[in-house]
Amino acid sequence: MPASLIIEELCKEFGAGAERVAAVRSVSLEVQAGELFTLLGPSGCGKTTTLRLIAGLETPTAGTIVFDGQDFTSLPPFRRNLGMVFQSYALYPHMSLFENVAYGLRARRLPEGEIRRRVHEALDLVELAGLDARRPAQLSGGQQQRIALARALVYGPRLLLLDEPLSNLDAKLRVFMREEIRKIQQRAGITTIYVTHDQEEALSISDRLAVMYQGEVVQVGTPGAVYESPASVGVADFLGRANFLDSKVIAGVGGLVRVRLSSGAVVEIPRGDPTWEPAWGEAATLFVRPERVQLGPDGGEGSLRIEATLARFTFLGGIVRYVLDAGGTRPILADLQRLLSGAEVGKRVAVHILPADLRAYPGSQRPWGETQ
Amino acid sequence: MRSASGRWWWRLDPVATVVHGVAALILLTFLVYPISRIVLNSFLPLDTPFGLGALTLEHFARFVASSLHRKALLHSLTVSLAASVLALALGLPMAFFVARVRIPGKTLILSLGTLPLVVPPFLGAYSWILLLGRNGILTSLFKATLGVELPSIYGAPGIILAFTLGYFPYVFLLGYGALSSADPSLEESAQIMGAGRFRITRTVTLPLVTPAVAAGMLIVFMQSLGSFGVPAVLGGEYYVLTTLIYFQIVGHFDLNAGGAIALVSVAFTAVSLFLLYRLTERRGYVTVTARTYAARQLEGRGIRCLAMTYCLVVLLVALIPQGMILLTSFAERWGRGALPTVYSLGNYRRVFTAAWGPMQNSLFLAMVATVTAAVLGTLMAYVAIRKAGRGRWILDLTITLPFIFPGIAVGVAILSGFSSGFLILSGTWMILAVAYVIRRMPYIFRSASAALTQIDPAMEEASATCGASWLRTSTRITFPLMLPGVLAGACITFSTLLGELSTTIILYSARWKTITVAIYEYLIADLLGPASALGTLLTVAVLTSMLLANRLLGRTLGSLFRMV
Repeated sequence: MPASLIIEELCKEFGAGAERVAAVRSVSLEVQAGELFTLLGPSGCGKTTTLRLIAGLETPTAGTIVFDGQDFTSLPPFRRNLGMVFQSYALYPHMSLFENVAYGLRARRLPEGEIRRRVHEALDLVELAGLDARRPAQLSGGQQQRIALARALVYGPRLLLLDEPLSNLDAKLRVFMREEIRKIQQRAGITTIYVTHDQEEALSISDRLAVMYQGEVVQVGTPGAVYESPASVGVADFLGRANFLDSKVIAGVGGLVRVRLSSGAVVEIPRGDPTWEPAWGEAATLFVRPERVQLGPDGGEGSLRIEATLARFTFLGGIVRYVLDAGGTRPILADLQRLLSGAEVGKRVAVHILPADLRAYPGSQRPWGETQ
Repeated sequence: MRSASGRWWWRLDPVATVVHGVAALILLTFLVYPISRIVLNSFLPLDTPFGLGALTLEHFARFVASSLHRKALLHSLTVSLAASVLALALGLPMAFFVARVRIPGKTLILSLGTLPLVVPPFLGAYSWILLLGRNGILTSLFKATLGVELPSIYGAPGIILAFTLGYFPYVFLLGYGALSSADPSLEESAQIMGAGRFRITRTVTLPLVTPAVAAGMLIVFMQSLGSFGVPAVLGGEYYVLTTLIYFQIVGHFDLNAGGAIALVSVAFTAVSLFLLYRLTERRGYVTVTARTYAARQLEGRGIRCLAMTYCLVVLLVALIPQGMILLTSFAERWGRGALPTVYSLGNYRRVFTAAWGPMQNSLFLAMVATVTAAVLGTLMAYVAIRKAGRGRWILDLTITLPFIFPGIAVGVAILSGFSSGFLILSGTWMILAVAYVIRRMPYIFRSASAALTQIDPAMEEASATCGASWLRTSTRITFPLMLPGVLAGACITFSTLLGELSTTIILYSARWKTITVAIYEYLIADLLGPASALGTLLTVAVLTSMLLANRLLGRTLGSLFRMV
């Protein structure tokens, strides 16, 4: 599919002189036509600033934004033909829902009949037909969210921008609305940039996503690829529960790296960071998701076996989380589908991990929360 | 909580009952009774005891029959409306410039913009006579250099000018608040949807600030309607309702007729206040919150120059009266020129001997009234919010009743109530103090209520569960937490009472003259020097008290005036 939105070396600095702060350092991205592309990262990573640069609400300090062959970089927002949903929804409290949705059409000076028809189409699309005369304050959070979406889509924009659209909804509604947004986006077939700090939301809704940190894009890929093979310890930790094990490098073997664990076991593990050139004696951090950790007398063929003590376990509804002490600095987490027969706190348990489920990173890398 | 432990009954209710009782007694005696008297009296001919057969509409009929009354009503409405509209024209652009254009010194502009509200407006009114009166500096200057005859400052033009410049900060401050706090994404989304700047201003920005700006205009209207000093100084033969009341009471000794006029002006204030509440209710617009970017600042060179020039010119003109007073106070001799010829401290020496009494009186009365209002207002706020339950609205309504009474009407009511009957206070300092307390208690009540509603009741409950008695909880937890709000309210009360004239002018006696009455008398006698010296001293005292309130709250001067 052709690239629709091309961003090259985008940079945005705020303030002047000594107080200059770079919100976006150097961001390059390509978004395909019709794709739902997510910018994901912790607060302050520059994702919202990037979105506002695409919208034209901020002017870039350097870099270019090209959309469908048209240079967006210095085009004012009202010429870009975009739709945007704000975190606060930005619904006009002094206008009826009809007038809210009709706003972009009126700005385009369409005839009254056409406006009426398209507003009703848009209200149908978000399943809120018949509420024309209401005011935004009379709606629930989820309904306000849909109106904001209808208002952004009604005039047929070429690109849809969503800035943390679900952050003001409660947990249950959030899950429901993200499915809805996905459905509406697919029905409208519109290229969409979605900004969120919620990794679960990003993983579930996106075609592809970019993980941002400190003003830079750290990794781009499909949700599966980024979750399974994070590019750094930071990404691994940010995207979900993560186990980290300490080890020492013996040698790099092609795309793999041979390491020795503190238990003395030697395994060959895929490199998580492809740019890393491991050297003998160097510390390496190994990463595995808790749901890939097996417990019990025997693991799979060729699995790594670690002896540990069961420290405690917790029911979390669908899964049981085991916390194991393997003598390292951090406990090992294992998420299992069911209760282990004979599991008892303080008992010795064998932990099994397939080397293919592990990823190795330079030992100097730390999770983002810990580097601050 | 109560059902859980019977001891709560013992700890809470005696106190609440006593406070309730005292509150009811005070409100009935000093608020409900005089207001009832003024209402009844205005339906009675002069010097007639109450009787159903004696009731008459003759005082109100004058608004049809007497051209003096008709005109006064018309004049009051004209100058107040004109002042509101002009305050909008002056204040809204300034609000926009300060909120939305990148200009230096915004904090200073906001503080200076508040200054006209701090200084009693009748002081400023006189300096316009100095500048634009028959022999005014500017009048002479225009005549000499351009041969232009300026229109007379007396009557409507002068009153409107003084009201506009004295009260436009209400529109400015409220408009600034709305413009700077509106969610910027509302305008950004309009931009994204393809709207140009003009469309955004017309369809989004203006509608969003309309409630706040309209509220500002209503406050200007009410303040203008209730002002006595400005039309008394600048009116001449041009009577408005307040000066007519004064004329009826001081000139004709007809308290009943004065009361009827006061009631008519109360009716207009009541309608304005009702509209104001409707507006502020509707202002609770935006429900969803999000981390938003600060309002976008216009950066263009042209707009920045325009904004800066506009603000400076408006501030300069609005602060001319204060400058004139200061200058005059140091002038020993002033020829026909633009500046005095000889400067000295003579005026100050004169007022320190001649007006020492009024200065002491003002300080004493303001102090006593402030402390009383602070104690009573806080207690009543506590009762209303924590103890009154469903009866709260009665207390709320009663205490805030004086809001709809222009200052002079409060004076008339108190005089009606306490110059005859079971409690005679006229001629004493008590009558002034009572009037001051009644007039200002709503403000303290308001700020104490606001402070109290922000205190989580769980803090008091936590204290109680730790075993503290009601007394301990309230003295160690509740009142200390309320204190900053109450003290700030008290400072504002103190400073407004120092500059009070509208109520005082009805109630003062030879022994109990205040500094404002002294200034008024100097002005009437054309003794500008001493009047200005006293005015300067008053301004300094008022400003000190205001700045103290400012410090206590850690807020800008402007935010102290958000009375609604």
